[in-house]
Parts: sequence; C-alpha cells; structure tokens
Amino acid sequence: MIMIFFVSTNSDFETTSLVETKDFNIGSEGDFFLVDNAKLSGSNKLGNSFNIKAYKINQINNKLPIISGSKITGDINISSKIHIQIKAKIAEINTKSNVLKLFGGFQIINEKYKLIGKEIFFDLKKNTITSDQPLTFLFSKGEIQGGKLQIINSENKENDLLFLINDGVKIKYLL
Amino acid sequence: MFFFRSYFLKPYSILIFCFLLSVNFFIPIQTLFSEPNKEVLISSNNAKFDQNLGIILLNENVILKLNNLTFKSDEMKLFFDNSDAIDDNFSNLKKIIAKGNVLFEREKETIKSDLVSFSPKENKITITGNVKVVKGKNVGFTSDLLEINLKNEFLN
Repeated sequence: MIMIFFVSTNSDFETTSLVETKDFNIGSEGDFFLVDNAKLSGSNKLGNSFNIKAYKINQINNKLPIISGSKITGDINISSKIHIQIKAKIAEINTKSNVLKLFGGFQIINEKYKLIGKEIFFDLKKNTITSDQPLTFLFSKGEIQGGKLQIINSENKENDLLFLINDGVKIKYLL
Repeated sequence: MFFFRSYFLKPYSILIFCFLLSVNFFIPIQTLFSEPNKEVLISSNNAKFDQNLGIILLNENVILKLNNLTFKSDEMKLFFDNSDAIDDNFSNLKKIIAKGNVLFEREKETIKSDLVSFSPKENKITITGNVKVVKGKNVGFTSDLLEINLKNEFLN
C-alpha cells in the first residue's frame, strides 16, 4: 500500500512536500518520523515545483519544518519553462521558508551544462539559486569555475536566467 | 590497370575499399591531420552570464591567455553564437571584446589601448582607441586603429 501525506506550514505552498512512501515509521512519542524510499514533491503559485526521490527522509531536531533526505535524485522547475535535474548526497527542505538545500556533493544537469559543487540553496519563494562554495560548470567545450554563485531570473526576459559568479572566475575554453 | 582489376576482384578488397571510403566520408582527412584544439584560459574576479543571449561578461582583473598572447583589461565580453539548438549554447565562441586599460602582450611586443576585439574564427585582432605599440625598450608608435592577422602576421 502506498501512503501519501502532506507536510506543510505555509499557505503559499499549496502542495508543499507531498510525501509518497511505502514505509512510514512514527516514533513512540509521535514526534519523530522516518521514511524509506520516499518521493517528495511540491509546487507553488509562481510555477516553481520540485519532484525528488530520496533513499531515506527524516525530520531534523524532531521539528517538522525541516525535512532531510539522503541519496537524492529529482527534477526542479524554476518558473514554468526552466527545467533542471538534480543529484545530491543530502537535501534539506524547509517547508516554512520554501528553501531546498542540496549538500555533501551535488550535480545540476541542464541540456546545456552540468553544474557540480558542494552546497547550493534553491529559494523557491524568491526564485533564486545561491551557493557560497566553489563550483564548476561543465559544458561541451570547456568549464567555468567560480567562488560564489547566484542565479536569478532576468528582468528582460521571462525564461532567461542570469548567472552571477563572484570571488574568482576561471574559464577554460577549447577553440 | 591490371593491378586495380585484380585487386577489386577479391571480395575482401572491395570491403576494405568501401570501409576506407566511408571513413573518409564521415571523418574528413583534413580533420585527422589538423592542429589540436587551442585552449583559451580566462580569469577574473567576477562574471555574469546570460544563458539565452550567450554572453559572458567578466569584470575586474580580467586576464586572457591564448598560446603566447596575453590580454589584460578591466572588462571582457565573450559572445557565443546564439543558436537555438540544444547543447549549442557554449560551443561556438564568436568574438571576445576587451574594454578599459587593455594591455595586449605578445613576446617582446606590448600594445596598450582602450578596446580590443578578437575573432577566434578569423584569427584577427582589432585594436582601437589610443593605441600605443612598444617593441623592445625604446621602439614604438601610436595609432587610432591597429589590425593584426594572426594567420599571416599582417599589421595594418
């Protein structure tokens, strides 16, 4: 039997953290949960959504707003037309602030490039992606290394992303 | 003539001939013997790139190195062919423009200017605005415009 339940603390996120699982354990005092082989999904009014598969998910500090998952794979839509795939060792979803944090080594895969790094934050409320840790973009003819990253939506075009890289940039390009 | 006739009479020879013909069709001989790809190395403090437009803007302490050429500038823009094809966003570097306190160094030659435009496809460098060329210690000249053809090493 598949169990589906909602974990939500914010009315803006209509279906935040919909969890689908076959295995659900609640602690003896009812303030703890652990889910094996879970699927998490969420969407909001801005058109952002995520769909994540986790090997294991659990609460952090027995508090509901932050859910942690390990061995993460999934998809994220930033606005209605920008779609990326993610892979990470660990993810934390804060259902109150609508921030998804990937860490312990992550990969973001787009049809045009692959982004690898240690830690990255998806703020689904503000529509931004940020990282304060060094990361690398890999594309067919080279790579870009950066110290810090902020990805925002362009003011000029709706489905255009602007990548702001700070704290040192190195580009290798094969002519 | 006799050799060709006897050669093509053997079935395996026809197969080898067809294989070589198809290899040459799919991998032109020119590419097999052409120069290995050149690598451009660029560093800067900050960068901004626009995925859809295919433009990377680099700021502060920008340094570009290509073989024996070095460009230093305040700002640099990399223009990629704006193709709609998937995987094609960063596959074709069309033009590089360096702006502000541009210093172009090549062996014993140093060129200072306001703006440098480099087209990797044409292998051509266009230098404009307060161009000052210094060769060696004391030899030099000034100009408004300078063009260098890296293929044929022409100075205009």
